[in-house]
This record gives sequence, structure tokens and C-alpha cells, in this order.
Amino acid sequence: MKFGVFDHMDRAGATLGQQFEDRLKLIELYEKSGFHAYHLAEHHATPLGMAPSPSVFLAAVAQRTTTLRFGPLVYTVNLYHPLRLIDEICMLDQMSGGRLELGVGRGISPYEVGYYGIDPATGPERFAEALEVILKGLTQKTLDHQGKFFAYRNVPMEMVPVQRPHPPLWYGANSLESADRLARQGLNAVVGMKAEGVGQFSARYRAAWTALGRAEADMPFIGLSRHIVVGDTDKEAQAAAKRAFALWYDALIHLWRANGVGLPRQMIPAEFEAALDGGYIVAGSASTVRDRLKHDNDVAGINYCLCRLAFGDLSFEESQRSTELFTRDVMPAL
Amino acid sequence: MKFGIFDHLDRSGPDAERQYEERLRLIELYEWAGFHAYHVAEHHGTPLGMAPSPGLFLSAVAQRTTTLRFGPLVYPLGLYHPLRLAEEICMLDQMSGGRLELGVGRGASPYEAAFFGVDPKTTAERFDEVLGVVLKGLVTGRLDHKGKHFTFDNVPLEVTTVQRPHPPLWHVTRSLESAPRLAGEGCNVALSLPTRDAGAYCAAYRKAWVALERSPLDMPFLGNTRNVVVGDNDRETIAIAKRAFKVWYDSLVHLWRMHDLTLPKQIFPSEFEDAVAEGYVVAGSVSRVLEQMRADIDRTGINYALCRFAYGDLSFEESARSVRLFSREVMPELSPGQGNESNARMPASVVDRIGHYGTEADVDIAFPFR
Repeated sequence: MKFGVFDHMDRAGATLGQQFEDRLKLIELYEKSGFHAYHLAEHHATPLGMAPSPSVFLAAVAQRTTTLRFGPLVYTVNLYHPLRLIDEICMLDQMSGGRLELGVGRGISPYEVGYYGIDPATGPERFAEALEVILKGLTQKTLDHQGKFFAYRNVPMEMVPVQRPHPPLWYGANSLESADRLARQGLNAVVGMKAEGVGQFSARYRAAWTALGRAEADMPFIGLSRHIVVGDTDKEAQAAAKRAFALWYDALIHLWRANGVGLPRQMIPAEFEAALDGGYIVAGSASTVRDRLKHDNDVAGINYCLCRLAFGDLSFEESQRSTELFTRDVMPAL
Repeated sequence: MKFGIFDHLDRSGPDAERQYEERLRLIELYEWAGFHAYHVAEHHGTPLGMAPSPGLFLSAVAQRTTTLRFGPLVYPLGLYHPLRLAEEICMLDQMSGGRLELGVGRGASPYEAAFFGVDPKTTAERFDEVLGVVLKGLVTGRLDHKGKHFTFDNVPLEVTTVQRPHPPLWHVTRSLESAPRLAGEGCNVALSLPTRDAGAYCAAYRKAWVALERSPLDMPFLGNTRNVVVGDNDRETIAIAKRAFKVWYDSLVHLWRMHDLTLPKQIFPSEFEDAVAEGYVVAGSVSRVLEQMRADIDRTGINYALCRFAYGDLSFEESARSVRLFSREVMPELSPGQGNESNARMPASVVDRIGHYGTEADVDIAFPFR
């Protein structure tokens, strides 16, 4: 089991400059605490994503850390020109000595995609083509491509990543059926379901992996992300978690609410108690958090425990304390 | 008179990772040496630009410095989506406490535009449209626009710049005709021209400024780029400048050559000696560089000397030596109070580096007064 951090970088309330600096200090602590990687979301025109250009923030992360791996989770690929994304991937990998983890997706919010002038209906098709272009660009000396959305003829690829053929790929998986394809492609997956659903997903992924005759030791990461707040007592930790969850949830549904609709599927309950009960949030004393994670991780069959230790208006000190307790009293037991 | 840095971040060797790290150390030295700002170019698909996404490199610069201003010179606006550009500008300004200098341009290379699928003939109109959308967005916090290339229906930006209404603007230009317009807009200007042409441009800009009845104290920056190499003696230093010039020039013309064309001669002379004669390259001992810079500044009428201390295959040590000598012995002579004449220690990372890789003489540069 390895541990990673997932971060929306949703608006915390302080000035944005202060939020960025506090977050970078926290990321230094993640490195010191032995986390494998820091994964940052990309969102636009919403308080859910104050790092709308994750690469710009990750370039700062590369400067503040020396061994921690990091990456977008995910680049909303359809909102980029593929050439620019190739450039950004290569620069980040070079500026970090090959520490980039490359999360890719099409961008699931129709509002955010719409702001970029992209028709959400073309999403899957455009994404598939863009990803093909990007992987070609990362691995070939010149880029040639004739497709429906993109055309390149003999474009020199002067930049290369450190990690060959390309940095490890990550997907956000939302359906059980995708497990077979992701296993075949050997991709890391972060699964957006409850522990039981993730359990089915990872069983299917592992079965597909084994059926391909691949070794258990080479298994990619299957991750599940949870909000985590650890405190001295359940009461204290859950009070802080509840307060911060309310703000984070507002940010999550901001654009949907602004457009007068609800979230398209039950990603996470709106009520803190229900979210806590469902294991979307794990908050409490170290022993409470440890017991719940131990149970849920077993059910989910994951090998990558993704923690969201900063969200909503959790202060730097609250997240710092949470991280320290998690590292000292929870991680070793898992 | 202030001093700034211009950098293509052209490829200096096979190891990009090392080049980024060495350049960042040099930038720490620029801050220490008293430069006003670091400006980096954007190029694609060519060894001329190893920072094809200048925003990423500048985010690292923000982490390595505390007071130095910095920015792209320029963002080729035709290659950006306005929303992404506005977001990136806000993030960089926030992550640096308001140190961003915002250089904007059309993008000089038709080949690079074509790589992006942008018809080079449309870059001028794209420039106007994108700049309008982005500036309005930064000021109002919303993108609302109906144009030929982009449409935004009241899109909230959510992120803002520290500097209000927006970071200082810089334009690059070669045309004398742009001077009255840019003076009217109060825009900073970065030129890359021979002494005579830069002189004509600055005269036109200053004339327009006076005609607008604006105070000379509010004069924007008028900068002109120079490749600068300073060393112990003229002969060796000029030889180093010439060696690196060839590497850099190859990068400059790389995409033109690939298309079996030569770079238009008026853009840049191909021979080192011509480049020196036209004022583009200033190389030699302190006294020679001081004399040439002084004459160049007097004749051009600039108030911002844009120096390029790292280009081609100049080693970190060669560039660091130039910067150290320039800031100690050239800058204060050209403009009292500028530069760094102090005995203060240089940035530890520079000292470490020179101590680790350098010769005995390089270590002496790190501790000039020990």
C-alpha cells in the first residue's frame, strides 16, 4: 500500500497568494511524511479550482520538493492544444528530474468545457484523438497526424520527457467496465466510487491483469480518494471536517447550482453525516481513522490510498496536524 | 536607467534538466546583482526555445527569487486560448506577490504558428482579439465577448491578479510607425534593433509622449536587447562571445533553414562581426563593455538595457562571471545606484556551484573581496 495526496485546490478563503504559499508548505510536509505523489485537479471558472493551470502550480511544487512525485489528476486534455500540452509535460518532467505522474481525462464538467468553446458532445472522441497525438509527440522525433480534430505534418518535437517512453499515465475511472481496458493498457486508475464499488472494480482489474499473464508485482496503482481529517479526538476532528466540508461542497456544486441543476450523479452526499457514514470522509482520532481506512481499503482492494488532507477552509495548521498524526499513527498500521 | 535580462532559453547542450537548473541559479544571481526583471521568450518546435511554456518556467523563477520581477517576452497571443492565458497570468502574479511583467506579441515565426494550426496571416487579428478579451477579463473578472475567433458569455474568471488593473504590459516591435500608438497606450517597449534604428524609435516614442503632455517621470520602459559578455580581457572574451553566438544563431535560424530559407537579413546579421558593429553584441573587458554600452545608450535613448548574458553554449561559469563583473563595474557607472558593488555574499547556490564545478579563478569571482 502506498499513499498519495489528491487536491482540488478549492478556494480556502485567504488571499490566493497566501493559499498557494500555505499549500506549498504543506506539500513539503507531504514529501517529508513519505507520501508517494501529490495529484492536483484542473477546474476552470469555479472556486473548486484555484489552480486552473495545474502545470504552473506543479512547476512550483518541483522547486519546493526533491523526491515527491506529482502531477495533474487530471489534465482536462480537451481544453489544451495538444502541442502545448506536450511542451508542458516535457518541461515539468525535465524540471523535476522525471517526477511527473501524468493524469489525463476529457474534462467532465459540461460548463467548464463549454467555457472553452468545446462542444461537450465531442468529448470522448476528441479526447481519444488528442491523447493519441500527445503520446506520439512524447515518443517520436517528429509529429505527423491526420485526424478529425487535429492535423500535424512533420512538426519537430524538440522537447522530450526524462521518463521514457512517457511519464506514468493515470485515469479517473467511473465505470466497472473500464477496468478491462485500463488493465490491458496498464494504466493507473483512481476510482470515483464508494469502497464497495471500488472493490468490484479492483477485483475485475486484477482478474484482467492476471488473465494477461502479467505479474502481481507489476500491478499499476488502483486508488481511492477520501477526505481525511485526523485530530486528537473524534469530536474535534469531525467538527473541523464538517465545517470545511460545507465550503468544499459548495465549491464542488458551484457551477451546477449557478446553472440551476443538481450534480448529474451521486458523486458524494451533500450532508456531512451521510458523507462520513459512507466513508467519503474519514475524520476522527487516529484510531478511528485507522480502523475505518483499514476496513474500507480491504473492501476496496486498492493498493493506493489517496488522501485529501486540505479542503474547504481547513487552516494550514489543521491540515498540518492532520498530516502529522496520519503519518505517525495511521500510515504504519495500513 | 534600469537594467533587465532577456533570455531565449535556447538550447545550450544535450541535458535540458541541467540547463533549467543552471539557468535558475543564474536568475538568482540576476536578482542579487540588482536587475529589474527577467524576461523569457516563447518558441515552439525549435532549439531556440527550451521554455515553450514560459509560464511554467516563470513559476519556478517565482520560487527561486523574492524581489526580481519577471515575465514572458512575449506570449504569442495567437497560440493561446484567452481563458487559459488569463488564468495563467493570474496564477503567476499571485504566486509571486505581484511580480509579473506581461509581454504580449503576435509571434514572429510563421512556422511556429503553422505548427499550431494557426494561419500566420491571422495572427495580427487574433492578437487584437485575444489581448482585448484577456485585459478586459483581468480588469472585470469576467470574460464576455463575441468576436471572430472567440465567444464568451459572461464566464467568471474566479482568479485575479495582485497588480490592478493588470500587470504592466510590454510589446515587442520593429516598426517605427507603432511608436505613437504604444506611447498613447503607455506601453513598455522591448526592441531588438541596431543602434541607429533603436535611436529613431526611441526618439519617435519620446516625441509622442511629450506631445501627449505626459511627464517624463512617467515614461514607460524603452528597452533594447544586447548580447553581453564581460571578461578579464578583450581577446579571450570576444572569442567566447563569438563561439556562443554561432550556436545561438544556429538556433535562431533553425526553422528557416529547415524550410530552405535564410532569415531576413534585417532581422539579425548572420556574422558575429556584423552583429558587433551594429551594436547587437557587446563583448570584452569591463572598460570596453562600459564604453560600448555607454555609447549605445546615449545614441539609442533607451532607459532600459535588456542584457542577454546566457545564450548559445555559454557555460554557467562564463555567464556568472559576466553578470558579476557587469553588476559591480558597469551598471553603477552607467546609472548610479544600480548594480551590486557590495561585498555581500552571492547566492549560496551560485557559490556552491562555482565552487563545485569551477576553476580557481571562478571561485575568486564568487568571493571577489575575500
